[in-house]
Amino acid sequence: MTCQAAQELILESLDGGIDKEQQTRLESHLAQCDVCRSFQEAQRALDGALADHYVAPQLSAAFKSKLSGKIRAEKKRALQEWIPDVLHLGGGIVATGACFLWLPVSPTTVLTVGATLTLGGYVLQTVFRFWLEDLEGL
Amino acid sequence: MDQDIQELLSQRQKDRAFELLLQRYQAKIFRLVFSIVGNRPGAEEVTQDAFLKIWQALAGYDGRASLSTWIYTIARNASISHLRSEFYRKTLSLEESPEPFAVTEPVLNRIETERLVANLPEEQREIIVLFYLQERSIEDVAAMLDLPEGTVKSQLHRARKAMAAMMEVKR
Repeated sequence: MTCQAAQELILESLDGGIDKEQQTRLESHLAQCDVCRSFQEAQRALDGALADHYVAPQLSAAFKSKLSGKIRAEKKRALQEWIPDVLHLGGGIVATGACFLWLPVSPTTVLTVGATLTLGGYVLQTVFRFWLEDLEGL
Repeated sequence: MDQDIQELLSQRQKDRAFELLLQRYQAKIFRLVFSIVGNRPGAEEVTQDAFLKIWQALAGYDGRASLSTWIYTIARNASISHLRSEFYRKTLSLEESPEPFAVTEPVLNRIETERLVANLPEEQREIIVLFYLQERSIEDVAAMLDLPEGTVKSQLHRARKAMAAMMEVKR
């Protein structure tokens, strides 16, 4: 076995183990190679130090409740985003309905003008909102 | 592996799917974020932000990438933007050292170990830290970094050799 192959096996053994046959070949190489023996010692020392040093941290007990709070706030915010849309469309429908009932204009005209103003207003409102969001993002 | 979560999503049961996902991935995501952010309070905050982003985007998950790859990508991106914002805010003072790790009586002391790891190229550093945080699972590290297992293994070997060489030079 070459030193390069032996050192690869040493590294493999640290990753997750090597089989019995590889272990035997490695041991017989190590028995006669000082360089690879000191490589193994250095790697074992390093492995031990890294394993001691990088211990998996635990999440705090409050992690889940904090996350739930953030999700609740996000749900509320998402709901609030719909309020202007709902109010606008609702208002447009109510105003069109009122005009339809009380104005002495033909129903087709009231519906056409009402729908145009409601949708046009909605588009303007959306554009304005995106513009404001862009400004906030700057 | 995440078939149950995907099934719940296809039934539009987002909250239950998220609950399951959180249970399954919170520890792994925290370790991944910790390996990038380097301190516990920051890592916990970023983990929360990452899960909030996952919750927001979950309904739109299209299944093109595996669920775990998708989640890890969100967590990695959240960690990187956190690091960037920290850098720009210049709030990282020199006194803010990384989380004190549990240390027994090591052959290499904590500072030496940290220095060896810090001198590695970024990818190797990330792989070596994650390898130990993930309890030596090459499979987990490969999934988290979206790399083939062979690449993780070879980078791990390179990192170990490089650190051994640095130790040699020091002597």
